[in-house]
Amino acid sequence: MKKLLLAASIFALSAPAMASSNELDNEKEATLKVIAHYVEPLTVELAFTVIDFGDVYTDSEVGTVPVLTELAGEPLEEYSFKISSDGDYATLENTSGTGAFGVDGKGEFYFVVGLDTKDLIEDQEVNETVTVSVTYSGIATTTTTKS
Amino acid sequence: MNKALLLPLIFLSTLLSAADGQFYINGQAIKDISISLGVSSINFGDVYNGSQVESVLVDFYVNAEDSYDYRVQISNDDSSGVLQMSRSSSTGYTGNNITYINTANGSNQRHEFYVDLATEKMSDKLSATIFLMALYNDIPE
Repeated sequence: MKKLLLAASIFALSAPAMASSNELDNEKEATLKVIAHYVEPLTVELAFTVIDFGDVYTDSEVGTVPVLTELAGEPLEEYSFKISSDGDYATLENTSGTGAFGVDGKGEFYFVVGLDTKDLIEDQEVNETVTVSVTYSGIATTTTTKS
Repeated sequence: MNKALLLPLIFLSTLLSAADGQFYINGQAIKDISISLGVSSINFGDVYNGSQVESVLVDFYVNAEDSYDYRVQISNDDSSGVLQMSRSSSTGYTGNNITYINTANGSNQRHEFYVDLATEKMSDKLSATIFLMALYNDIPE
């Protein structure tokens, strides 16, 4: 019985000795906070994918087509948009601008597509792609704080 | 009766003379290791899934006893893998711990690492803490 007690007391003594080994190594620590605000990726949806002006002739009057562009993104963030065509005959109105997403993260704008017919010649096919690009205008950049 | 009292006293004095001896205590006092960090927080601002962010350089100083080796460990509590760290700005980014050993020269030694985000893994805001640790390596016991 005495032997057992002695063994137990040796074990108890060795436990604090092991715990203090980190103090022997003189461990020191410093910390640094890293944060980032996640914003929803932008999505752009156009009311039409194709506008077909049908048969036209030189100088014919063609009605313009308003195109609704619906956006989704981070609520209250501001965006800017730009619309361009890769050809010479499509006419565009409202080709650039800015706006802000609502609290529901939705936004929309119109632009207008027409056709310039005065330079068209017989049998000419018009095949142009109109590109809508939307970007966040006020994306906050990285900042660091010195201690 | 007198004899009986005398006998234990003789034994006692013999025991006391046997306890006479010497031993030495050796130890070396070494400098308290210190670590100082110039940056307390990094705010990457607005980021979205797949956006490009510039990596941020963080430098810190370790001061320890000349010619002693110390271990530096850089870790973080981000479990999503978004937070990436490397000792080189262009390669070697990892979400895991960075550990290396350096030899002290007795004065402030500059260390640096870079912090970046793997934004393609993001779907929520990031709030994480980076822990820097410096400790003596192989202190003789």
